[in-house]
Amino acid sequence: MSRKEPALELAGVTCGYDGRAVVHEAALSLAPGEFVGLAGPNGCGKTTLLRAASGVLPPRVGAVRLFGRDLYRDLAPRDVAKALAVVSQDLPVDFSFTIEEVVLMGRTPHLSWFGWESRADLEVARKAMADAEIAELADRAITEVSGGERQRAFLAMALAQEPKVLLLDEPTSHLDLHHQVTALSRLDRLRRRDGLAVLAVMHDLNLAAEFCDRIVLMRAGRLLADGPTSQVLTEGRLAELFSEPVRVIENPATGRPHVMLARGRGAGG
Amino acid sequence: MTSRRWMRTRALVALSALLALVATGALFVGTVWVPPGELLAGGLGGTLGLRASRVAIGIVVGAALSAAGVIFQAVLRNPLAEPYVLGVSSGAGLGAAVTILSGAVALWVWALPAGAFVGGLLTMVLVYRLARVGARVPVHSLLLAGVAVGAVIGSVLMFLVSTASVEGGGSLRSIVWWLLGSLQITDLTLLAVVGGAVLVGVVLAFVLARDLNVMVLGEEPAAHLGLSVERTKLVFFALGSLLTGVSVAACGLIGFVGLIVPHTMRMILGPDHRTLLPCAALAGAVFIVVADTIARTALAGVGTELPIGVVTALMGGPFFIALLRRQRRVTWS
Amino acid sequence: MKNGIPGPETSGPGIFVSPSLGPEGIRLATTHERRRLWAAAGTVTTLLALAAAMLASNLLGDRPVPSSGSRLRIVSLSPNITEIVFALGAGQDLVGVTTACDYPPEARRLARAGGFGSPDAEAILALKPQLVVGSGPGMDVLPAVELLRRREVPVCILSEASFGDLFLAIRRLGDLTGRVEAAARLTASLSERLAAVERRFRDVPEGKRPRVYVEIWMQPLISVGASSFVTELVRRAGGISITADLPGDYPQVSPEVVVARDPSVIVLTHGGGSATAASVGRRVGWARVTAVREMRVIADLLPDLILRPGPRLVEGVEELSRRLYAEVAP
Repeated sequence: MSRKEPALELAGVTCGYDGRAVVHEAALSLAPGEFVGLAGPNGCGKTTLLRAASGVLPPRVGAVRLFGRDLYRDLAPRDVAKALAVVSQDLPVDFSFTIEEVVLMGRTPHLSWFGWESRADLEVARKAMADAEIAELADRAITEVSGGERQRAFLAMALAQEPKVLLLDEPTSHLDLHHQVTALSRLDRLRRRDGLAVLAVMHDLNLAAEFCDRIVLMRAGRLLADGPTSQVLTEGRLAELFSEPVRVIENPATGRPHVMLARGRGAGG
Repeated sequence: MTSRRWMRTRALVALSALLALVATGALFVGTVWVPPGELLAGGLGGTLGLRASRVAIGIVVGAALSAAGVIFQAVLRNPLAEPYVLGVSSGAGLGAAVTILSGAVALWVWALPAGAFVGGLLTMVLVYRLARVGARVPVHSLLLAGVAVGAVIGSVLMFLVSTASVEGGGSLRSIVWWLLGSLQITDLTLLAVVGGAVLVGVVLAFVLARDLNVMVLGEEPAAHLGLSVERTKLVFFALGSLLTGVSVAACGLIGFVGLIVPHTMRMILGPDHRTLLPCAALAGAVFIVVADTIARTALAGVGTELPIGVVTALMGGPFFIALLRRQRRVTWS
Repeated sequence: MKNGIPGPETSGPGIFVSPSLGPEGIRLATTHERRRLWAAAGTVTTLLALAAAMLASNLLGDRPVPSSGSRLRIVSLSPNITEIVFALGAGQDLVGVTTACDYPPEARRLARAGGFGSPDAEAILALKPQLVVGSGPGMDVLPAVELLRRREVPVCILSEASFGDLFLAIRRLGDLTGRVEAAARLTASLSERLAAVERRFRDVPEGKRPRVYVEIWMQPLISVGASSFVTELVRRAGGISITADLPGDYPQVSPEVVVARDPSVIVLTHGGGSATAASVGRRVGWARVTAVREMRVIADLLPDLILRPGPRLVEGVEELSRRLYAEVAP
């Protein structure tokens, strides 16, 4: 695997539902170790793009490549799952598995056909739970924990797959301020330590600005901008994208771009 | 983790012991009181053999329906699903009715089970085809198709029953008796075939049980975890339908087992299907053997038997009421 | 009384009460159900046509029943009634029978007015009958019979629960058709034949008489109970039905009961491949039953001889008795 080869690549991907395209000619490349944020207004196709990238929505046009190999044509779901993991926005859970059992499900692509976990698998699961900081809740039922804890459990499940690429759909949407920062810091740490390529759909631009090396902006199914955070998050571009005037300053505490409202309470309309 | 494994072993042992106890007890009890000495002296050629065959098929059918219930509840992600929800039972019922009314039963001993099985199989294929949307078979689509096909076939069946009722006393009673379920199986070869098929089916389901755990998370998460979701669904659908079809073919429609037993076992043992499946199978066997024993002894005074479907319904109804009340108390406390 | 024919309100003690059809109906299912099945689509059309016809006849009003001179116009609702009428020599008075009426052969040439247990009121009315006769439990409450009564067609439903009822029916039909001497001769001859049969086994103590299990149906097991004439038939043939104490006429019986009561003779009345003498022996748990061990399973008795409560019932008694007291088959 050459250093130049992207971990995940979307090439001219057009995909959608019921014959209607939602994402048009998307081209995106994710390198190992990168933390890329994907942002845009509601309904612009972020989740659809993520689904195409994760292997569950075959594109009508174009290709998705995982380490150079076509994800849909050349790889079986098992092979994909060994290298790519997804943390969804929220999984409705009716069945009361314990957190440990859920995390162990992350080992599915690595298990033999007979499907019993070995001691090594248990080790991986324990490490994943520790990384996600949920080890102390291992024996609790997943139906009994809070939303934030559930999210950490699913993160642990994804990490148990020992992926090289991690896709997240709004990983901080249910969390309070402290946990938002903690969650993203955790992700950041992990990807630096293990060389994970991370692509996260983010709705909070400031959090994205803090933690992502690169931001990709999307509108109406098309990728508008793709580049280093400070270059992409400009006032003009953001105002046009969200139809809302903003000001972008430098966060004095962190040195990263910070997006502020330009129109507050006093403004009518 | 070890605690769960420990629990599984204990549950399996306890259930096996219970099954052995109940099955043995069932041999000594029945419509007619036969003193144990005489019973044993008669050997398998007499009343003992009669009861033994019923206990045997009861174990087989109880295990099959419970396993099928577990499978469908997982694949459909609905803890109230049961083996008959996808229309296999209606199709088998129609197959049985057609076989009885056409007189084929007089020609061939296996006509009835064969007719029922073919009916169930064709319905299964029909439902699956109807539910397919492109390359995928969405779960809600399966449910809708199953209910719809079941309703249509059910109405045809009722039509046949209504036109048959006026003239054919025996045919009508055959159909009704079949619709209520009965463990009266006279052919040992049939018992062996059904038993073998169910054993293979349950073992296969057990081997694949982990995939059921993953399926329960949802289809997309399962796909993300590396499962070939459509293929897995097809395999489990076929497995569940075959288990159901074979049971229904042999013993008619025995209701409630496929719903109550998996549900109860899940409440007690948790949702891990590697534990749930074998335990539900054993528990289902116990349930049916007990129900059959009641069916055989309740009307002993008049020399006849209750249809087992009536007994399972009578056992199942109050059970569910109790469940509901318990749940209400829990939510409001 | 109208035209010399007694109306239903003066019918004798022949009104049954139990709501099930006789065993013949059960057996007939195997042959006639086939036709029913293949005509399923046609039935819907027929029903629609019936509805239209009923509507039409309601609009046209009642037709008067013409007096036909000496010949009576009788419609039979049951095969046994048909046989009795023919046996009395009044066959030419029959204008309509059921699809199940197959004996004597002349009966087959008569017009069909519905099935056994499902009379076709319209067809019956079209035959302009002066008397409609049927027998068996359940007949009285059939909608078609209700309809006929409302149209003031004389309907007579006789009981068939015993041999006594059979003789009563013969005499009644003799009265109705004006064949009183024929009826008396017939009953006398039948009684004589029954007495002759009884003489053969009179000296055999009851405890030594063959225990007989009569199987009406196999799935589920249906046998004959206390209220059925078949139980009496077995008794008159010199046997004892092992299910004689079970309540009802054709009760569903548990195989355990049959096996425990260990009949020495089994009579199958629903022949065919699925229930032969050999196949009974293969049933689980039946191997040690005396009838099976001694190979006394009778599957070739013509079912109509023992299930149809007509004059041939006595022939059934004779046949069965002959088999019960024949030498044990090698």
